Amino acid sequence: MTNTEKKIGDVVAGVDVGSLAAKSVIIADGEIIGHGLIPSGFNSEETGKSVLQHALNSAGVPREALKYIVATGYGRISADYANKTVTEISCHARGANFLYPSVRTIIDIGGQDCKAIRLDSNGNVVDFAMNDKCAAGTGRFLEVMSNVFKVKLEDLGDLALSADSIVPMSSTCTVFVESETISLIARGEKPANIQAGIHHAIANRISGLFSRVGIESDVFFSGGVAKNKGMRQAIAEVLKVNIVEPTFDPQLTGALGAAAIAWKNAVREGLCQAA
Amino acid sequence: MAVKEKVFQYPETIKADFIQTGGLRFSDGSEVSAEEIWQFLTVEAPRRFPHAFDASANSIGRLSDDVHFFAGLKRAYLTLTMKDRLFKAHDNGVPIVMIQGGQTLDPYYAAGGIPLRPGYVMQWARDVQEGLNLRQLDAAGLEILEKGRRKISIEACNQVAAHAAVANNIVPVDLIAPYLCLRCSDMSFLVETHRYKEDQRPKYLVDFPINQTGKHYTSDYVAEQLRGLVKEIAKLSKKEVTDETLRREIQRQNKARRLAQEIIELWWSAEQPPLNSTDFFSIPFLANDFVGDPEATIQVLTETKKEVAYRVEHGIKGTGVADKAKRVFVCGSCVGPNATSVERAGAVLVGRDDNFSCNSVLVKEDGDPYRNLAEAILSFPYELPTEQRADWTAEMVKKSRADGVLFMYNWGCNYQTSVGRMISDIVKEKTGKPSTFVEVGELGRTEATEQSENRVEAFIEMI
Repeated sequence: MTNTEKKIGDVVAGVDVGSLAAKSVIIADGEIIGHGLIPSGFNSEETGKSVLQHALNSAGVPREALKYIVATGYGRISADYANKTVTEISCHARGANFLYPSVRTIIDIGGQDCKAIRLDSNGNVVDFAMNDKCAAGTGRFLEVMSNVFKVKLEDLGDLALSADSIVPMSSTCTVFVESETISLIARGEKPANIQAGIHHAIANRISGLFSRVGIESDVFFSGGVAKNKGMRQAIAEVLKVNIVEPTFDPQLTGALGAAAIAWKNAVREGLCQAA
Repeated sequence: MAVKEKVFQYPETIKADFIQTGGLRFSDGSEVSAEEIWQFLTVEAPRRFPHAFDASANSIGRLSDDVHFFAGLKRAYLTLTMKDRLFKAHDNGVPIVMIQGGQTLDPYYAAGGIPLRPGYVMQWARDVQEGLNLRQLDAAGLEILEKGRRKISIEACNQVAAHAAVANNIVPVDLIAPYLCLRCSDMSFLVETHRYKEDQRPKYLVDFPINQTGKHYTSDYVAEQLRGLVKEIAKLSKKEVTDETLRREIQRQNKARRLAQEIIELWWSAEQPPLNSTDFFSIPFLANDFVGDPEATIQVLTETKKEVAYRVEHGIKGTGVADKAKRVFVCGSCVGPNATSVERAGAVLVGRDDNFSCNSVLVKEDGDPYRNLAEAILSFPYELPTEQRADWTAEMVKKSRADGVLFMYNWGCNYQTSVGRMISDIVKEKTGKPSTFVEVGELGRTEATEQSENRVEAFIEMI
């Protein structure tokens, strides 16, 4: 059997329509063969279908080849195209387990929420905690800050890493931190030092979630914010843990987990053959 | 993309069997036949209260899909006709009294009043205007809530909405008379709502000496306050209330409490859940709120017990409950998970500490009825100091064979917020079952509940 025939025969997908970005991962025979990432639009169903097509294109397989689709994220309620829906908490756990079977703790910071997740050796969630109705400690919080500093979101990490000291922030509220930041800039404080302070404020916020569920190495950092090196460093310092280095885009972890669940279900239902 | 709408309706195929079940008698002596109930549920109610028949949205108050559970249809009838009965009673001089959760209703009904918890007051207020769909109902509720928030604070518990409905005369309530039990630290917000000079309606606050339980004078103290409460209501109802009147009311309400206990025990004993989460969760409400009419409600409870016993004996499962459903016990006041979405996620709700508490204590029927009531009130497990409350909850979790414990509380509820973690931890330690707690900001809301549903669904996946 050629690789192409194998892919077309045993292909599944995970689709994660989040609050800010939609992600999709294609798995063939239990291995990642394609992925897609686009901004979430106003129509969850269309966004989900669109990001799925992006992922299929990157994998070079037709839509008809898919044997099973699992949808996750807030957009999963409008995913008639999926065989099953699963919460993103379970999917991040399964995605992290797919990449790093030794991981027992996950920090997930997405566009509008953050989560502390504990998992077992099979990637099953054993406990979790989420932020309540507050934007502090989320990707949206960092978006607001990138606007204040007039830098791209993806450059906030490097900005913070150039800090020579960390400015303690007195607030955790996104709006109050924004006004506090403007006051600090007006006072002449270096933006890098302020941003390092913001990252530490977020890390402290995250550590509160771990007081509820506990923490055990290895720690995996998933979600779009995990791309921010300054944020990774701040969390490692505050939680005093080692965060495993990502070998796959951490923003795709939820979609990857959805695809891993899709693969498992497809094999169980006899739609795909186990590798 | 338009929001998909699905409309629930009772199928004609069940009509013939349903109308064989007989009608209901009410406290004022009036009666309704099963045929009239059917006519109301299938013709009049969908026109007057279309929101209740919305089967597509995240309506926590939607009708049960278990159309073959006929006592459930009668419960739906009682709920949907509550507005009509309350207005009629008020017009006939029956005082409507606003109370708090976690109370015995015996003194209120004995004194000739109709007690209503904030949740029922809000339901009444939102139903004043008829013909609303779910979104319009939500908007109506929010408008009332904002009236309350403007007077108190955005940080006030959403229950301030019910008091705003009263203070703004959206519904005619004659007396504000809650127990100041510990379950609700936001009681101060609620009392504050009625302090304004324009609200002249009488108030009678029943002190609840939680830190004095077990002391010999505490029952006398509460009993004396209950005597005052009864006198206050009787002034409005112009009813003569003797000790014997109260004793008879206690006997009647003990009957409801016993029925609730028996139904819960039957449900727990079954291999297959005989009622779905929506229907099962209505039982403690029926036995402790009576939807404004104890007489009719006790008939519904009696029929419920009969139907549940039959289903248990024949292994019949409630409609909507998944095979091998995960069993979730709910803790906390005022808010709970959306029963329909819980069942969609493959779980079933097996109990609730708050409402089970009120039905778990029978009131002694001989001797001084006021002292008997006081002793019962002071022993409600949900109102006890936190460790004792948690111990009782752990027992309920074991008895209900729950797989997990979900503690939910409303944003702004200072008391449940502070005890939630401790109770979850104690219950987890004593039962070995996983627990989580979820703060929500949507009390009384029917839309935009995905945030809390997401957490509940993830918890169900976890267990």
